[in-house]
Amino acid sequence: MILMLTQFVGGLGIFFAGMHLLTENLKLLTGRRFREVVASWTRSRAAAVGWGVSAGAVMQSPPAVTLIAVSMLGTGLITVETGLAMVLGCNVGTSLLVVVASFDIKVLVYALLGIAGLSFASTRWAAARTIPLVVFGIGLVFLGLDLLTSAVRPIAQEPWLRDLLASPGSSMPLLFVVGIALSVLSQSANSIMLLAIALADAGALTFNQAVITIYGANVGDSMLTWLLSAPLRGRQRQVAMFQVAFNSVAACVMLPLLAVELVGGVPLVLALARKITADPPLQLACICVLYNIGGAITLLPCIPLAARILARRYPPPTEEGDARPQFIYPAAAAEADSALDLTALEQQRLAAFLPRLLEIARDQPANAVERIRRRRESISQLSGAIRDFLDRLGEQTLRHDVYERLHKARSKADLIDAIANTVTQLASVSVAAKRHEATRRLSTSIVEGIDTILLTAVEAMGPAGSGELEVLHNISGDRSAMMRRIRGDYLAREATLSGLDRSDILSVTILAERAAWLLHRLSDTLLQEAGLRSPVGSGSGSEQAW
Amino acid sequence: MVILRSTSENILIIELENLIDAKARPDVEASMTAALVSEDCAIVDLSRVSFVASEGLRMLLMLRKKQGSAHLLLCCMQDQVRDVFAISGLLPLFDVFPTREAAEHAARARRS
Repeated sequence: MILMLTQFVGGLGIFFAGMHLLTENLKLLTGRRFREVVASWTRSRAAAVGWGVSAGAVMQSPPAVTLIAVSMLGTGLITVETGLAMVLGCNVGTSLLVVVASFDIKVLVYALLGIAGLSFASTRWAAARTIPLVVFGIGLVFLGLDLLTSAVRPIAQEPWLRDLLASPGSSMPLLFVVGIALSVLSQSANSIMLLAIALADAGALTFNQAVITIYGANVGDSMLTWLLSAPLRGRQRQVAMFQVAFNSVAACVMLPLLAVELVGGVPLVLALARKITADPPLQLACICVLYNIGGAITLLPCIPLAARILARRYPPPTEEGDARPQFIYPAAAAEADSALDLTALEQQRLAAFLPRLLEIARDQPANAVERIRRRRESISQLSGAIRDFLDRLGEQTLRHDVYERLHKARSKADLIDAIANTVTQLASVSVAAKRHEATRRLSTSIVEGIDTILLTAVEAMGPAGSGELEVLHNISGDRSAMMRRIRGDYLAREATLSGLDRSDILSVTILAERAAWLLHRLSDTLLQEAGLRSPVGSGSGSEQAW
Repeated sequence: MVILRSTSENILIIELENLIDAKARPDVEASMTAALVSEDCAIVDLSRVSFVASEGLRMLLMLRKKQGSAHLLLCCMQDQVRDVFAISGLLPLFDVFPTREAAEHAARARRS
């Protein structure tokens, strides 16, 4: 009995480890080119559903497919409606796992694990390890499910379990609720569905009891998504709530059909499954897929309406609109010179969001940390879209001078990212550094000082910014001596500072130093870009005057 | 708030009060721009300014740019205001004096 239970737990663990390996490595394969190909393939709603089915079948993770859809939405590659169609298809795709796992595919699973695992023995394959890891993940998923179901069969023979499941308390509504609860607890509807199939195969559950448990597991999947999506906002929440609606709507359609079939004797879903195959476990697996197809058929025509309702119910926050490019778009890369002009405008727009991080530190709202996190996320998304655009541009054959411009645009992108990181840290430390009057005063001065340079940089990056460029070059630069002195003054003057306060003083001064230096490097890049030469010896900060 | 005064030698003194932040900037900037139209030299007294935000610094930078060859002298900065000027790197761009008298003396010297 103990061996069976540990095999059950071990199987569940291997299944989750396999899912993790599979999802994380597939994410690495879904770069810009992948997303662009997907966008070109999913122009029609039917194609989007088709892609969703394939992605769900391979990735076995609705959250991972949702993540790809959301990132494509964020960069404007697809519309919300296309994203919803993808999620719809993904539900059908993930349920296919249950059908595949119903067959005896041990030979294939061991072969997959062996081939993928052997590739780790050679260092020659180290650079291209993602695909073997994906294959190994798939192998682990099936191995885990096999261990899980093999462990269930002997448990199902236990008299206490048979008595429990045969008792009057094990009614259909109760099993529906059990299916929901187990799906939420295990965080995997598929494993619960396979469990129900294994119990039915071992005779512990009747066929109809297994069906209702499968339906419950699907609804549980929705409840889990609903619970996990609580912190999401905007389009992410819209897609997540569509996922919640999917299984709920499917239940609203499929449960009455089941009742009509069982009570009224009208041949419907169960009859269709029996027509497809004579094997009961496979019939149950088919019912899992039919449940999702039922939901998909019901919701497919409602996608435009659902998109409108979700947009009204969960409007995108300001940051989400900011994360979408306004100047660059995939087709613009065809004309390299104007593409780089558009990139410069987008980079200025990106830079203009950085002072908003310091604005949060200045205003100190109650949810400052969360707002900094959200703002940083939108900055990262826009920055990622710019990088993707530059990568796309770099794949073309360009004139020598355009290559040079591209190289400068990339250097600028690197610098803006580094400045964004530093400013985010500065804003976060500044929010925290309010315990002592001295740390509050210092962090406030630093926030305002760095914000001034940042605002000047944003102006300098604009089309009419040449006048500001020299100012930026002069006011940014090395602040190490100044910051050392300020730090020393504060630490010596304030005897009541705690260890944490001293650490805050150290952090804000180091971050200010780094920000001023990075902004000076940005001014160098901008000057080079403008074809101007950096004024020699300038930009060393204001230490002389200090 | 902006208080404008003139010395006996007709040097414009602009006394700024309280905070200079995003909220105060439009009014302060409008008053200062109007006052500086016909001046070749003006002193900005910051003794009553307890704090200057980035918007205030950008305003002074803009005014300095608009003034062209004319001079904007700053005086009487409080410690925290001076800190912000220093960290922003703006200190070397302005002529800064510890007292109003020193600033007036410099303004007179420039005129002569």
